[in-house]
Amino acid sequence: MNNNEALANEMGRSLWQDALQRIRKNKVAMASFWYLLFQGTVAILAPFLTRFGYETTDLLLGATAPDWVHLFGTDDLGRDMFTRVLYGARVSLMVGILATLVSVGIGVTYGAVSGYTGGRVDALMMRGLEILYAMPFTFFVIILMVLFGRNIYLMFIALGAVQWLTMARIVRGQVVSLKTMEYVTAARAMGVRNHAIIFRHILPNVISPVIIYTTLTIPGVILEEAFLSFLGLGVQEPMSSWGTLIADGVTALETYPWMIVYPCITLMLTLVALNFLGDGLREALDPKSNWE
Amino acid sequence: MTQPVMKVDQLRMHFPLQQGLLDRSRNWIRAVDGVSFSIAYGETLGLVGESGCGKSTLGRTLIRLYRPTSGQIEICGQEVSALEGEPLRKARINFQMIFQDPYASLNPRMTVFDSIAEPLRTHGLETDKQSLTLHIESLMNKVGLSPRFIRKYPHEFSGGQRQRVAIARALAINPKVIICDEPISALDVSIQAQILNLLVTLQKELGLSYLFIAHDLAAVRYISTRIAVMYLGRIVEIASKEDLFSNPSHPYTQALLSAVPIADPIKERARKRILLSGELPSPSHPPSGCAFHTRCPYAQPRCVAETPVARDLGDGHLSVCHFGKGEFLPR
Repeated sequence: MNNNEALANEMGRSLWQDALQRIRKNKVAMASFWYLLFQGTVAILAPFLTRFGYETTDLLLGATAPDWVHLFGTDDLGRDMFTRVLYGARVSLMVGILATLVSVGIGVTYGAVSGYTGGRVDALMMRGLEILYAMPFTFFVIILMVLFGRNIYLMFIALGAVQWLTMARIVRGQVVSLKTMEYVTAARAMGVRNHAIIFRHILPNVISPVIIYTTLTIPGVILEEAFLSFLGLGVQEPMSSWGTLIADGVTALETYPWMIVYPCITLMLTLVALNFLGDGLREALDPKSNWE
Repeated sequence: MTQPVMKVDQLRMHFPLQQGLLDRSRNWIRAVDGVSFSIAYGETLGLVGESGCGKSTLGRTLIRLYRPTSGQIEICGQEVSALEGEPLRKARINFQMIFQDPYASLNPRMTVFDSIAEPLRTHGLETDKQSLTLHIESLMNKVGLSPRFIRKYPHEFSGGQRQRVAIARALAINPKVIICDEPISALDVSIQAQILNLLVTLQKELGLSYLFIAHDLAAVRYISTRIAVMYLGRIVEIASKEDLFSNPSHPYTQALLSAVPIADPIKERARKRILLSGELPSPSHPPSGCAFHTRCPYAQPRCVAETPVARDLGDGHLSVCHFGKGEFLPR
């Protein structure tokens, strides 16, 4: 036993403390974390980081290639692409965060309750889920827009409301298999209360699939937002999001390639960082992974 | 005679076999079908029987993981078979279980400290962090684990060490009875003896009583004071271990004991084995009369028609068979 380990033993190890220590040692995950933090800060501070307005057109200028004034070039209406990418980060990151929160919050709770309770409650909750599944997503969004008027927050809700369904199913499946594990039986024999069993024995063991699915959810919703905006149901011109910028860029691909290159690079970097961070988190939360 | 620590009377545990959505007629798996026995303070009752005879279900019913269909379970003078909710939780302080597979019975994301602390915290026995740590360290010493492993995770241990953690966890709240559900069958042979000896030592030290469920007759013989033999959800014979091994009365016990190999090759060659024909009948349709009559080498017409009652052969040696020694006739 080396000194480090002895020290760790003295200090006490809990799963979360351990995870924190481990992820700090994971350089890729930490770099990703700092990158995402940077991306978030930049999005919040967007108005102070650029001289141009995202909606200011300069029709005389038109589309220009990147130079020192317009770092990412301008689009065909003469709007500064750097500014539009910065502002686009606001919508895209917000969609990513909110949809994920909804998906993890509702999905995990619903799935855990359904799977742990079992029997008729489980069957009923799963049939309810299937009814929601059966609803066409675009139709659902259109109904929301008609009922409540066009609103960007409604779109967040709509995206989240669709994403948690799959999460709930994944979590339920895991919980159903975990609750028959002998350590759960042992906890019941000890007289551990139900909520403690769920929080101490079951949820920590569903973390891996939840993190993996979350890292898949975020890019999914960012792209779905682009799809909604394309249909005219999401973000409206002149406001931008990464999805709409890419959609615009596709049409100008041959003539003004910088219009698609920069939003794509930003989106890609963010998604890569999210994946590395998710991977790092999953590894850090697994005591079996090597961390010396 | 003093009060037994555990007294079980006519315990039945039947599980419904649901047919379908509309057909509500039910079939029942009679996993435990009228079991009675008692365990005295400081005693070990061994429970043997072939796979599927209901020994694990019996253990799990006694620990109240299931609610018995009927019958009584009295532990430390308290009737627990019908308890639910908070009273049941409180009653659990008297009985604990050691599980078969130490790889499955410990949460992989909990350190030794957390695993052993869980029963203590659950029952509010130790709230102060420092005395909790001391308590856990002393438990670890008791089961032969170095306290410096207190912050380790289960995967960092061998099977034997994990089983020691599981034993420490079961001991934490100072129970009177521990139900050991095949606690050594998942371990290496070299480790089995260590764990058995540990259980014996702890029993002497703490005055524990065990119900030791196993299919390894040698282990049961080593650890038990008395042994019960189970067949198809019922106990067919119960006796002190000396009596049972030297003088088995029930034909099933005789067959079971004759299957134990002898280490001496000359004696082994001379050993007479009683081979049972057929398979264990389905517990959803147990045979009429004596449940063993389908495979018994001495079955008579009476066995098909009449359910045998326990015969006392003296000294608490009970055998559930119509016939006594010397009355057996081949079919």
